Amino acid sequence: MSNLAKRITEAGQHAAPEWTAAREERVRARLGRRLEQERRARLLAVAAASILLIVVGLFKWQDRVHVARNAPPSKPAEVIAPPLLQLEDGSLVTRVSPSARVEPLEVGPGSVSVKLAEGAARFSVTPNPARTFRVLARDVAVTVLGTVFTVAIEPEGVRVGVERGRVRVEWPSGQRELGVHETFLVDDAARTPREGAEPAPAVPPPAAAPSAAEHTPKGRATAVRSWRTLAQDGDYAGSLARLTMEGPGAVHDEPGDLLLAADVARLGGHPEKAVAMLQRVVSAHTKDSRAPLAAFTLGRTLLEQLGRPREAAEAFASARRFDPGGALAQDALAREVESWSRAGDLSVAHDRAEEYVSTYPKGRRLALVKRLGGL
Amino acid sequence: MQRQPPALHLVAPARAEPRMDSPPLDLDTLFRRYASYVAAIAYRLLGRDEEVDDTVQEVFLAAHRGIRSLRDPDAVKGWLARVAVRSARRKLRKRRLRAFLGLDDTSATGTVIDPAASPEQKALLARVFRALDGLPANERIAWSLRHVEGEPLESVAALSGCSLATAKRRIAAAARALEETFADE
Repeated sequence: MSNLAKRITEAGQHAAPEWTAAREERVRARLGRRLEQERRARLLAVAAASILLIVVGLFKWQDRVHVARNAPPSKPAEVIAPPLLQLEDGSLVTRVSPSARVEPLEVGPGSVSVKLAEGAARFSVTPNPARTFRVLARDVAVTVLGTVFTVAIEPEGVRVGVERGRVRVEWPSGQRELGVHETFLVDDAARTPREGAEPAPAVPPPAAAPSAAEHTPKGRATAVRSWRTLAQDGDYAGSLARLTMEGPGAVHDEPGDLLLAADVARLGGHPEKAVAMLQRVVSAHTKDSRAPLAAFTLGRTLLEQLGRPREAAEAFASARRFDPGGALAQDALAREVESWSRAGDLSVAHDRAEEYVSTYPKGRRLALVKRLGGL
Repeated sequence: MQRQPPALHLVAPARAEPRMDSPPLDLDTLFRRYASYVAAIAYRLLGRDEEVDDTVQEVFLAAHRGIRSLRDPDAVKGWLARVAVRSARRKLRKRRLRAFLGLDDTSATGTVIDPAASPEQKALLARVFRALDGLPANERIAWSLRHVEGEPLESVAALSGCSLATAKRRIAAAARALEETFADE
């Protein structure tokens, strides 16, 4: 085989195709055509992919526009805006205008009253036939059972708009019920309502319907109303000046009046003057449904504005004692932990923190309480 | 007009370091320089003239796709040879499949063109190519590279894309089969 292999190798040196210049040119031309076909195929693929991308993009864009158009206008506010106020039953108050400010006046099992001090806010109220939910804006009261609505204090008056359910709007000279998608402006200058949408049927004021004006005793309406009106207009400094001028008799020994006066003092820049009024509610009106709120507000004032954490802790403890299962109990206990911690009484803070963890194992202030209580 | 068969230098298929100062090679330059070289390899591996053009086209299409990575002319030559071997292997496998199905014209054996070849050499190569048609593609390629091209074993392994031991085994297997055909020689 070695001899044969040698002969084959020698013969192999003569094995070659007839590779002429014409043949080479022919193959080169075929190669050029093939390359051109491949280039066109690539261009076609790129174009097809681009068209596909554009079509998919258009579909997605249309979907987003469709979703955005069909989304309920209230949804972003519910998701994005941080709540101004959140109640245990899930009711939410969220900011509509940047200046919105609300103050809880009463938080009880049968009644919740919230004051819109300024700006515009949206109220999403969890339905509860056993509880009256009321929003006070100046001298306009909006009463609901379960709904979503917006209240705005505007230069020309108070505007109420309903997204879901029904509300009753009351003002000193009348009242009106509003349904879904109805808006209503209670004119500030003329104190007459102006409809912003479809007309709503007028209903006679119910005998038991409460309003902001009800907190004012009728016999002293003129004297008290002056500082109250200023307070309801958001002029707390003016209201406090009027109160100071009129003397202690301007405020009646009644929880609503005392709480309003305390608000005027706190928000008017003199929180120390609010303490006495809040302590009066806590000590003399312990059976009133607003006593827990007064105690809680007293605790906040002492802790945050006056730097008296030990007294604040006692006030928060009173808030819990008045209504152990109430809406404020959880926050009051957390605040108590914070107060004892700030007062330097870490052992009590630790005990209260343990109580919070055992009572509210999934509480919304759990992390803060654990940290302050040293758990 | 017939050209002289190009001298075959398939050795040195090892990858050379690219010379970054060299300009990129364009396809036209490559084709002009190496088309006849690739055609000769294709012919000797396939043993048929009619499949040479397709092989040359395939090799330079592959060169067009990988041309950006090729800068060193020495590396280009070895790289083209390896591509030609791969292309020839595909064609040989297709040919065996067609033959198995009875579709291949086994009489279409290539002709030795070089007038310098003696009649005995022409006859010998014709018999060799016919005998090689009965071998598996890998064995045929390894044997052809070793005995028709006269490549050293290391070069056969590199061009075939296999180890040296595998190359030796393939060559030996092909040689045993051919010994039966050429037992009377």
